[in-house]
Amino acid sequence: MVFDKGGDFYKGFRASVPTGLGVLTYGLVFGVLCAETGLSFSVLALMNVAVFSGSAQAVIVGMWNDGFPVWQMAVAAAVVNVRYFLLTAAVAPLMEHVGWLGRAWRVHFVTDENWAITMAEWRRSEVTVNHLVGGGVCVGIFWFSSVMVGHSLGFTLENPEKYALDFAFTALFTALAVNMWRGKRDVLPWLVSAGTAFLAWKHLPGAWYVLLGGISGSAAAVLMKEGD
Amino acid sequence: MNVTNHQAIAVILLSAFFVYSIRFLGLALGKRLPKTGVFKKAMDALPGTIFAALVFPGLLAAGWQGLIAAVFVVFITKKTGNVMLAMLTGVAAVALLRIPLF
Repeated sequence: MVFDKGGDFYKGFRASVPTGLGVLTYGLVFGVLCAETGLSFSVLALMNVAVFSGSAQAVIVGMWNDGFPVWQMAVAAAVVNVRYFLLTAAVAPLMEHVGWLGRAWRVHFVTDENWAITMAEWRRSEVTVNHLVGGGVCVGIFWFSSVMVGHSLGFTLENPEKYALDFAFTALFTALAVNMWRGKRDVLPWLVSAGTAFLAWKHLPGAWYVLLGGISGSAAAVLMKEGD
Repeated sequence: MNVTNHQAIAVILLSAFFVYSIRFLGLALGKRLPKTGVFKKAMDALPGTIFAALVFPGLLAAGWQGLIAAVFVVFITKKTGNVMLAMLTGVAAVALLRIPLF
């Protein structure tokens, strides 16, 4: 039985509280930006529950008023979240004894933060899937409430350019990119990606630049020799 | 240009479907994924290259102010690891640099 190993849910929840505080500040600012962008309270609440991914949601809201077709915004959100494929693949062994229906809802609670915490704990000792779900619920509570509070605080400014709010998402993505930097071996893939993205951004409509840049950079990484 | 309520819900539901499918597929295929080779290399590089693609045109669009701000953002993220602080500094830098000096 999954739930016999009492306390793993709470352990995962408790272990995720510190990162929850990080999520909280991010969520507050994101909520303010959503109000600024014009998302309604209920639309935002639906997105927090249904998408439940900070980076995907940031991409969606970043494209919100730029006249993109619906499917392109959704594809862009999916593209920045392709990494989830790797995260959930890594925790698949934890769910082997759970039925498919049980896996289907539990997997929605995989986020970067609680995934990292459960993986770290798993390296030290045995964990159950409840640790992961407990952490996911913790992150979810922090995320949902901080975004909604940020949205309620939200003010709409006369000219957001004056306060450089149009730069907020670019600044955020830049900081997130820094955290993904793996060192020297990323130089060439990132240059290829940035160059391709720039050309696509200039010449193609919509969000193709994200997809084409990401794929070409990743292809460059594959073509590089070991030790480059 | 503003998004209608119907479009908003369509965007959210379609995005949610994609993002959920990615999560579920990873779980379903977890054991069968190659742990080495081309596929692994490509998937490991992908998150970073996607962010590079996401960021670069936006930085250029923001002009020289954006490029200077980016230096601050990178520096603060590296030094403190605080993404929020880095973002707020970047925004403040662009706001200040946009003030016409004459």
